Amino acid sequence: MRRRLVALLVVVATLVLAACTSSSDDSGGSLNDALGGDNGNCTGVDVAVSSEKIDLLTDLAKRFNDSDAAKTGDGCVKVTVRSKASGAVADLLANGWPDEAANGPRPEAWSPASTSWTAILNQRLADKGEPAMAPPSKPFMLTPLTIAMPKPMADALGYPQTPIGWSDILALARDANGWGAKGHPEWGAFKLGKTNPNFSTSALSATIAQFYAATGKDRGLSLEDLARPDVDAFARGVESSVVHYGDITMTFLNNWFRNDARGTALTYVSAVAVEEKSVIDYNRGNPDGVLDPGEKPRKPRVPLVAIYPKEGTLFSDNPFVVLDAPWVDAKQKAGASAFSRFIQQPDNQRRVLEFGFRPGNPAVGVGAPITKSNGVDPDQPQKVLQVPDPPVLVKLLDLWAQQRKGARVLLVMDVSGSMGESGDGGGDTKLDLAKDAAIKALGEFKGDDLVGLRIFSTGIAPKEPTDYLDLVPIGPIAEQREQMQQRIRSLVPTQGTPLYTVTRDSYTQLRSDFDPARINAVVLLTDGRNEDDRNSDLNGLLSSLRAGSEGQSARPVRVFTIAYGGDADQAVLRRIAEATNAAAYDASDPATIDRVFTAVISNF
Amino acid sequence: MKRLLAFVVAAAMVAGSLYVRSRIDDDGTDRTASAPSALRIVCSTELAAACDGLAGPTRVEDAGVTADRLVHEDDPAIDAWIVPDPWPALVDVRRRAQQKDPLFGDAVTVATTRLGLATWKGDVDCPPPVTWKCVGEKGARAGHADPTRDGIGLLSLGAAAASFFGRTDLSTADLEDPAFDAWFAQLEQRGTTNGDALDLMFSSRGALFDAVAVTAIDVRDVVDTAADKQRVEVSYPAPMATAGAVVAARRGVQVESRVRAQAADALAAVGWTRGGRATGIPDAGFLDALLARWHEVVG
Repeated sequence: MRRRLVALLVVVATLVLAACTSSSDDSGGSLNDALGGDNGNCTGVDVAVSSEKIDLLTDLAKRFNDSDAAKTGDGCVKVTVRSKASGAVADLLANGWPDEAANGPRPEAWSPASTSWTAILNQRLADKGEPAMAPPSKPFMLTPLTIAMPKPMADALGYPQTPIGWSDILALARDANGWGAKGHPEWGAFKLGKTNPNFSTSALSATIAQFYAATGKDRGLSLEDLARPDVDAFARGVESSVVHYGDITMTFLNNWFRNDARGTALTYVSAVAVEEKSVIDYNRGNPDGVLDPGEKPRKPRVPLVAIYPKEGTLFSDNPFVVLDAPWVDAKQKAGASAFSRFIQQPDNQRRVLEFGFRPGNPAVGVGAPITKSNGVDPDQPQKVLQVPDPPVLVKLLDLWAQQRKGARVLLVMDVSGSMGESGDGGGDTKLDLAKDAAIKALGEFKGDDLVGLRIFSTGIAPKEPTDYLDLVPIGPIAEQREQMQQRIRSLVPTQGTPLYTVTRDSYTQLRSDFDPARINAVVLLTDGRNEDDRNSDLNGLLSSLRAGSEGQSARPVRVFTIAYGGDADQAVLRRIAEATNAAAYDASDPATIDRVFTAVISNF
Repeated sequence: MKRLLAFVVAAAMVAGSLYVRSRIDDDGTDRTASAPSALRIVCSTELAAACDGLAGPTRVEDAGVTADRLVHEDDPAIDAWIVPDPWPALVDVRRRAQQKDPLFGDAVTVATTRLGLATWKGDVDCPPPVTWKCVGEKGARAGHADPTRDGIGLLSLGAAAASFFGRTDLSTADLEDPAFDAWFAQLEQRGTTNGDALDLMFSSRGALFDAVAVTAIDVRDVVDTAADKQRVEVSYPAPMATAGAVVAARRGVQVESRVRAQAADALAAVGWTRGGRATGIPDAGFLDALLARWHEVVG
């Protein structure tokens, strides 16, 4: 009874900033309903959960709904879980959860990846003079942040006999010989996969850990520490090795797994900052931790090893929060509390363990699958870092925005005739909504990022190539942001959709001017499918994209695709993204395009 | 005839048990009477079970939240407070500092539980029984509940200070001891305030916490049922600290003894020991000053 979660000294103001800048970290921003539907005569309880535990909570919700625990004196409770990024939920709740059509139904309970997000929510509400919505809540499982690395690479570094940490990552990133310095030139340069700390809990933890490593401390990270030139150089050094950022770690894990199947796992990325649970999932053949119907796990050819950084790490503590929100009534609170108690029961904590998390109930010990055979070590980590004070966290994120790897991005927008169709059932066309979203997204780039704007539609240009038009050439966004916004505002729908040609040519252009110091990428937004009789060779396109993206000498240009509207060819766009080890985003509901654009830009 | 005899014997047993129980209650009140109390009773969160068993208007909230209200509000809506000792006295210390009349009269201890230290074996280089003094000296990562909010969290902090000095008759002058100052800063800055510290020590296999403040109830409910219980050692070091749950009546308010008895029953049902007295905890004046120092240390 005393083991109630008390207020953490949290990162409030800093992470407030993080939450302010984030809007979604679930793929495509769409909600993945689990067990949704009619509640019948039962009291419905919607639970928003972070994406890495959607399968586990879906399983537990089903067990709960079928159990006596869901029976109340005069009725029953039905729990529905929905996958939603922690930062996005904090942001939506702080704003009263607007637009349920686009954002999904308001939740009555919430399980973010970390307690820090609940403090962020409460702080944001307090800043507006509103009461707290997330009361102190009990964690129900843990998972530590790790550096996942293919076993041959970890072996080459001598792990675990030789402890490895962020300082070793820095040394590898700075070494011009890359893996050649470790006797493996065939693996190319050291490449780090890391998500965006404004969106992702694992990235936030990794960024905190990097700063601690730079200072040699394990507690009390200070503003003075952050201002040290050597700390700044350390952070920039690590970030320089990042392949791209993004909103969720699953992008990296799924791409890694696909590369593993093709035998190119060691040249896609060398290490990714992920939670321990993800390493277990990957090694069990389920890289994103979500088994789709009919999907069967396939063990990777090259397993991952979880490296617990020698300088220390942080845990994600997964609280279960019954929200004190105006839309949550007493019955729903009671139902959510019943579910909260249910998931703490030993039988259900054993399910927690089966899914690769460390149980929060001490009655269930840490055991399989948290074993060395799955690439993780139940006796690690030995050193845990202190969450910095809020002002330090704010500054840390500010600094990250400057220190992160620069980007070189070509924004390619479809202006075909179908973009003139209604996007919201009202007066705005799909193109209108996309224009607004693109203009807002331009604000997410940092000043020295290089960004250009290309539009495409058949016959849009007066001379060859006639299928696309460069409205703003790639250049420093700080110098041409206004021009780009004006050009986007003036877009009008025209003809057909030469999807393959514009993809091929955009990719080829970015490759020919490849800048190794930056993230080189195409952001491709389209609402249709290829409508070009002159070029309908999808396989040829995919082959050329793949050939340019693999191998240690690759000049990786990522093509991030946005399937916009219900007619977009999602399958083809996904294949295009996967061929370049990027990610496909789903904005089939045009109302979600704002959030999706923000998620896409989080890759830079 | 046998049936009649059995009935008479049964009736006699019931009557006897009621008599014995009434003697235990010490006032002859029929505790089975279900007339609700008209008193407005507040229970601290860790003593919520006491309120659950009471009829009438009850409320459960963190001790620190109630304390703030009682110090600052002119007419706090409370007649009795069920909370670990010496929170009521702490409220009165603060009220006196604000030239307000003290609020509480009698505070009767209805249940007790021992306070101890659970340590992850191998993490703390201290000889048994492990003491707060040693934990602080070794720079171990110690955990306890928030002393500004949690009823027991404050007592744990007091027990830690008593451990450093080896006595409980502490005064604010003791806080000026530079050796204590350095020790206390290390203990609290290396440690983390977290009401779930014991669970987290197990879940993280000692990575998050080396030592955690516990009650005997925690030991019964958590440590003894933990899968890794053999990896944790529980100590009850001298000076022996015992938390006392009191029913503190507001001045001028009469709390029926049946309320105290019901609270004692309810707490006994969740692991508290009926009766007894609090020991090993410095007085409210010292704890108030210690909390001020704690704020300075943790920022």
